[in-house]
Amino acid sequence: MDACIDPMQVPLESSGSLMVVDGMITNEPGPYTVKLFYSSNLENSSRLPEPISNAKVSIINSLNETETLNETSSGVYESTVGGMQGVVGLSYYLKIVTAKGEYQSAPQVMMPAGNLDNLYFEFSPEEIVTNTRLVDAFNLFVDSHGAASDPNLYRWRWTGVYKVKTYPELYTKGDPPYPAPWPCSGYINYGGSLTRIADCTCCICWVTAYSSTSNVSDSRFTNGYEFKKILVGSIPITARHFYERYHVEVEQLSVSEEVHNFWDLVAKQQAARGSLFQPNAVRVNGNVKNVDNPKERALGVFSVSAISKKAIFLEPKDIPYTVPAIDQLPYPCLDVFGNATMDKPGFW
Amino acid sequence: MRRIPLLLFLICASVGHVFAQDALDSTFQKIEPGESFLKYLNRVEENTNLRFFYLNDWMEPFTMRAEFEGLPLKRILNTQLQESEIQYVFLFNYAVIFYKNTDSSQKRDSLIKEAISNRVTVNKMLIGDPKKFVAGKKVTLTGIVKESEHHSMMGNVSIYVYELDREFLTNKSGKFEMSLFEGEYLVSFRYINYQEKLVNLIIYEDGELNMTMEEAPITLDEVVISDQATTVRRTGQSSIKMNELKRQPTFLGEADIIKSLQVQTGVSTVSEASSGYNVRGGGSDQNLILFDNVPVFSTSHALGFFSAFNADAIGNASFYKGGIPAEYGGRVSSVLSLTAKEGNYQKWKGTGGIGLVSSNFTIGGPVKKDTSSVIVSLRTTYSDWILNLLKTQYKDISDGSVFFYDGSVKYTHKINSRSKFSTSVYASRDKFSLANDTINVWDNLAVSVKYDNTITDNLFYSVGLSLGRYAYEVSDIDPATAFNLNYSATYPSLKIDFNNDNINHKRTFGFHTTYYRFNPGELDPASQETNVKATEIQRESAIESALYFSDAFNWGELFHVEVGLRLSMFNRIGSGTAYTYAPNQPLEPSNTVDSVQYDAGEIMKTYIGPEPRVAVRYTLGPNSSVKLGYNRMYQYVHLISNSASISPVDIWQLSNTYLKPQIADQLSLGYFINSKKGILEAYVEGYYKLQQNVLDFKDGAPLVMNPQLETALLPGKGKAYGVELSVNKLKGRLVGGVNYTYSRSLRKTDGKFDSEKVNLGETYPSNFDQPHIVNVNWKWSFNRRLFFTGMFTYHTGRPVSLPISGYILDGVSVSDFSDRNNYRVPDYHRLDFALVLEGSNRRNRKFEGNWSLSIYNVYGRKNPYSVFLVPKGSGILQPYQLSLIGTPVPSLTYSFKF
Repeated sequence: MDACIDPMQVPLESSGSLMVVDGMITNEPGPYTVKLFYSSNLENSSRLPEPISNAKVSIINSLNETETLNETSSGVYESTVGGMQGVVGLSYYLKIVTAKGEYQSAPQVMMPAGNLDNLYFEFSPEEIVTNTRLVDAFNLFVDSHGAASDPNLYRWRWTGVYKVKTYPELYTKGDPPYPAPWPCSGYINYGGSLTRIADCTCCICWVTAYSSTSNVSDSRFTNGYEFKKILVGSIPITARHFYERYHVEVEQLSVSEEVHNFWDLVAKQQAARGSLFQPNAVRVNGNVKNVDNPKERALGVFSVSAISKKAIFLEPKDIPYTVPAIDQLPYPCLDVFGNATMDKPGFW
Repeated sequence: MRRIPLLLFLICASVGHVFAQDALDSTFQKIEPGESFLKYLNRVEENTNLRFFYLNDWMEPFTMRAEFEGLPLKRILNTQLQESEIQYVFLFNYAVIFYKNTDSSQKRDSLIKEAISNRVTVNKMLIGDPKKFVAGKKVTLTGIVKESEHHSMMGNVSIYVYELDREFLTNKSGKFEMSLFEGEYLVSFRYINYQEKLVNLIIYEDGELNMTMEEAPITLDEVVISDQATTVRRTGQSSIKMNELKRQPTFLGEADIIKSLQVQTGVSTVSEASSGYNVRGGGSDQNLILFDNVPVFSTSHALGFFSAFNADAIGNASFYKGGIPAEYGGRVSSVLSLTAKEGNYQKWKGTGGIGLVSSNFTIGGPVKKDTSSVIVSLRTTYSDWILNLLKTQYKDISDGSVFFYDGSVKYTHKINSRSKFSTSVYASRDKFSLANDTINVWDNLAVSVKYDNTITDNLFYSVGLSLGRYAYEVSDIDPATAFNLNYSATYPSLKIDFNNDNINHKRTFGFHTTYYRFNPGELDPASQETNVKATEIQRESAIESALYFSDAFNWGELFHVEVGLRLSMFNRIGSGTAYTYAPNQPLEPSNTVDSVQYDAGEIMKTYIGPEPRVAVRYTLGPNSSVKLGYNRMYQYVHLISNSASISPVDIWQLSNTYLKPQIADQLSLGYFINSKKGILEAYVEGYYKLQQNVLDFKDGAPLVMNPQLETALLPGKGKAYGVELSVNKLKGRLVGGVNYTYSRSLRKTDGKFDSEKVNLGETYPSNFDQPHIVNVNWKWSFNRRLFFTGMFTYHTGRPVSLPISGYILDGVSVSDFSDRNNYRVPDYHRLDFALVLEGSNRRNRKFEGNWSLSIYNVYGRKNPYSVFLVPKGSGILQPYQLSLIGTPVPSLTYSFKF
């Protein structure tokens, strides 16, 4: 008996693209970023989203102070360095004026960040599915607590940094192939053989990865202000991720009820993927609305969050076996790994 | 005495003058009640020019009645002779010639001949002395119909009198009564799955006719035991032929009552393996499923692959989808009433089956011969391998495990000829776990005790006490997150039903009351280190009661009318908490302004529902009829499920101040026709149904362990309509049928606030809107032992909401979904075959074995079971469909009977 999974043959007419808002103000020093772009449909999902330029974007607090954001690149708006900084207890809202009209988020009070007490991990075999292959992972957990008097609505996200190595000297050309090392590799093709003449300047880089799942607090089944062993993410264990070691920082963000609802629905959407009992569709509405036409749907959220964070290193010795050597990619590091830098991070 | 050859007068009639019939339209003589008809005729002759020609003994039984006073002679004659074999002609404006109609006796003879040629035995039955024949005298025939093996009384047996073209039914204690004129009749006793019995009845005085019905043996298969003729059956009613059920193709060899319902007109199902079904655009929670009168909440095994009832344990199943009788209530769309078999009162007998997935065994026999009997039935799975069979990348399914059993016991005791006691227990359990450490277990229990008593020959009552329970548990065994989540619904109930069967009126009335005790959720930490905190949602209680009355009678010659009223009352009672929400604000937990605590037994909310029921049949001719049905029904318990088909973690919720009872009004009209010899039957039936307070969901609203469930739900309106067409061939080597249904099921959820609307308050298709449905089934008999059966089913794919665009926010991809139910999954169609070899034809063989080879999904259609969403590109979800069965599935089953 074969059970089968097939793409559904349903004609999908492309929906009218809607404005998406991705913005946040925190209690950490700025600049803060607000991104405006259009949502993508299934046909153009592999392309970069279309940015929305020339909007007037500002953040206004409950003291009626306004911080105007400047468009630093297409669709990306940033507050000024040394400008407004979020303060716990004040409320903030976002105002956007585009050619289509004026949009606002409801004012949200910045709530205390609580305390992220402990960040730890556990090895978990076959935890993550990548390209239908099951991969071992480290599951990341946090213990944290807030004040009993606060709403204690949190979202957790993580940032991972890992070192990788490539082998640009192994690049070949032609048929039959002959060595054609990249110049930055420090090697040359000297009479048909590789000869090292300098240090490699493009073999090592540090890749940054972000959480791609929504993790929010659920106080319904706990006492409401103490969170124990909350799974906030899974770090895949592969030769590339553990060439040396893996640095991960987890942030605990206090969020308003609206934003908590948003991420909660996103989490439900993610949980619905592949569920045996197919749940009803989860439509996620954002917290930014057209002031004049409330029926117009805008997507995304503007969050007002205080942050508590912790960072640790995950070491190959924590893996119960020896990770194989990294594959030999014959390209400069930055050409292969996106979101990477040659600059060694301060914590490394 | 004037003996005049009849023939002579008829010839005369053709040559003589025929005057206006004025004379008969006049009123003659004073009526003296009690005077013999003969004397009256003499008095009329003395005072008028009218002359009567008759045989004295024809007229003797008739006497004059007071209500004849002032009536014209014609009316008096017609009334007196109604339903007798005596008729008259009026000639020359003075002669009234009485004669006996011989048509019916000729017709009877030909029917008897035909029956004999079909190997149906015709028993001759003589009651009274033919020498004492008094024509036209009314006599009463009473009797009891029993089951041959179990000696149990059989209710609802159809007793058809050809001469009168009238059907009588036995009451629940198997009794019947009919009033006839003395004479000769052909009477047919019919009951589904039983051999038809024909009686050539010659009756001259009051008498008794007791009948024993035998289960249709294979030897008689050439004569198809017909159900009540379609033209006679009430609108929207159907019965399931249990012995035909086992000859249908099966999935992995399990004969399934509920699956066989799903190919009837007006019944549909949303996905490949789903025992939940939808009737005429209603939700799967709107079907009342009774096991020996106790409602059963969860009706599927193994994720919906099988239904929860063992076909061998069921004696009788009736299904109503429209014109629902007043004795049923509490669900708004349909009623499936299953009656467990009774044990044999004479000797021990058993049946069993060995299949690929499960085996079942049933044994029953006398505890005390002729007095009490017991029957036990059990079915269970062997192993998890059905899931392991599913070769899939979907790890959670193939690594899962599944187990189920169901069993029933029934004990019956005849206290005396007028009363009977019976008790019945049904229990089922299901367990499955997916690869992640969650185990789901769910249970059904239905226990009932019933006492039947016949007070007088016409009055019968039964008192039933029952206890029903549905519970499930979800457990997580991972120590870090270990928990047990418990849910249960317990519902004891009392039913008192009276049946009063008179010749002209069949009345039923009674009182039902059910107490509901729901435990909506209890979450317990199940390990030391778990992060789960113990949580309990307040238990909920309610009482649902109903008084009903219904009367079925013939109105004139052509109309059969059944009118009824059910008056239901629902009291939500304490202890409990009722929340108050800010006025002019959406119903959200954050808008809670107050809560009121109620003590145990205190009434929190009351609803009263008058539920009129009407079913009318208009006979157009001997083979066709028009039927009209109307019913209004109330439903006070609601299934809250966030998945499109029934899943084990379904929550049943009682009505409260915010969750008002669901109300459905249905009007149906049908035209039914049978071919003359009953070979073909066909019908077309249309319906229009309006529903109030049907529930839909807020997006992603939490349903499990939510103490304020009203804030997660949205009441809306439902509208369903459709036309059902069906043609069936009932007799011959090839039997089978084709049916087609066009139907829509629409919803409108238009709350006060934007967050309380679905699709901005516009009308949208419900989860089970499937406009086109076609079903074909057949059985070809090679001989009396070997059959080739099959079925084909097609229905429009059900509506679904799909992701249509997406975006990435802070590294996380988010999908934006279409309007609710804006798309459809691909259409469903499937062809199944079965080859059935049945054991010996000999009736008295001790042991009988049958083989059934089935091929399910012959051409390997990949029908969608569910829709998956898989991230694509920048995280936008691409819909994929999962087909659990994508190839033909053969299976072999052996079943036996001794």
